[in-house]
Amino acid sequence: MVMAATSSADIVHSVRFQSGPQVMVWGDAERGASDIIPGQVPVMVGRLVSAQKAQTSATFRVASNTGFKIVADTSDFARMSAAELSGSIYTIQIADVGPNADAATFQRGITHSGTLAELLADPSIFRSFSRTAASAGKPGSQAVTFVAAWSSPSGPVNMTFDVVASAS
Amino acid sequence: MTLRRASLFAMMTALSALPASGEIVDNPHFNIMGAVIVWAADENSTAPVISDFVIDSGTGTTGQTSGDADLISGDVHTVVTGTLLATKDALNSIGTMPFLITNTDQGTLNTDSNGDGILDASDSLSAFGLNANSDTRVDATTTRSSFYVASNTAFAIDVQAQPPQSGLDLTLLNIIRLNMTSTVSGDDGLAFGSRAQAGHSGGPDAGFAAEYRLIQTLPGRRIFTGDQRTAAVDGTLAEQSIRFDAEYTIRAQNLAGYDLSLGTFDFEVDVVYTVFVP
Repeated sequence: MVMAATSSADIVHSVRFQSGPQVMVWGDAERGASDIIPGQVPVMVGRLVSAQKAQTSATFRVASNTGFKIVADTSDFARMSAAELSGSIYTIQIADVGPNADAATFQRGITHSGTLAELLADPSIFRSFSRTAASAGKPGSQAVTFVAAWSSPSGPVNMTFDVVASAS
Repeated sequence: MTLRRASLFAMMTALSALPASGEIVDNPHFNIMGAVIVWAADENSTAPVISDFVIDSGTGTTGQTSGDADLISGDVHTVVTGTLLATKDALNSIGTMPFLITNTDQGTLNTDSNGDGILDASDSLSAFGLNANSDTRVDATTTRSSFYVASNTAFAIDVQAQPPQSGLDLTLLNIIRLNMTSTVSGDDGLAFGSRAQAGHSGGPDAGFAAEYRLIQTLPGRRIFTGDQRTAAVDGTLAEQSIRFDAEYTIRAQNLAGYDLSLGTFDFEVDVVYTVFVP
């Protein structure tokens, strides 16, 4: 007897386990902000709550298992003229690197700066393609501390930052 | 009568007893072969679909050597247990493993806030305070898949994980544990098992191998040995089918050190079950 069949009966399960991007963000005591919010899959988004208008700087820490970017919310810029924006500046500096963080990538003292007009065109004030966590440890020891500062001749500016996982 | 005459007479008598015409002898024989029908999803994730129809045409004692024939080319793909969703379209392809965050000002938090086993956009957390002792790591997780079998004979199932592609794959194969049981009846979108019995006389949990680590199945292992057919009384295919449930678990104790420093990972390996009649 000739069988039409050619193979055995196989049932296939593609077992899949993923560990997705995680970004933990927490702010300084003055701001009292610590936030971790699951966002669009599989990205975790941390939003530092709005600073008070009188505030001109913010210190916050980021611990991540993936690349990330820090993005400014520019909605408060709408009330400012182009000249005011061009005359306003910001800086962001890596102020500290935890003992289990990637010190080679996140070098203490690195500073980026620009004008608020530039932020309006590209709100990313910092971008890393590397995770902060270099070796096993608690998130506090794997964190990088950032200090952001801004000033405007036209008065206080309300700055809010989103920290977004960015694997690419 | 001389002796020669007597012999001739006996020969003629014997010849006269033979049939005068030629006869054709038939021997009607109806043999019902052992048959095992497997259904779940097909290669296009359509379910329910019968993709395996095994007939007992061999005598081997393993899935690879059974010699049984599958009348339908192509393989079945499992579904998420309790549904008719193909696994490759479902659990852990739209979400990721949850994280456990300990020693916060709110105690221990799990990022799988809604308890569905994965971290995705349906989860949410409130702001929480961290301190020097706050810690985080990947949390234990489980994924489950199933397929359905109807048979007129006892059958067995072998399992074999496909070879790892990287060192991390090897590590994960070592910590993923596989358990299988069966469910005799239910309704996952198509009612099954109302006229079925367990594939083993000891009941739905009988006949199964003890827990495997997936790495142990690389050379192929027996995971189920039945001793009776699933079809108990006459009925439809679904009514005579039972469900086989595989459970893949990564335990918390195997995840020490799986913190942020491990980065992200996406582990995927095909696990192949072969149904045959020993």
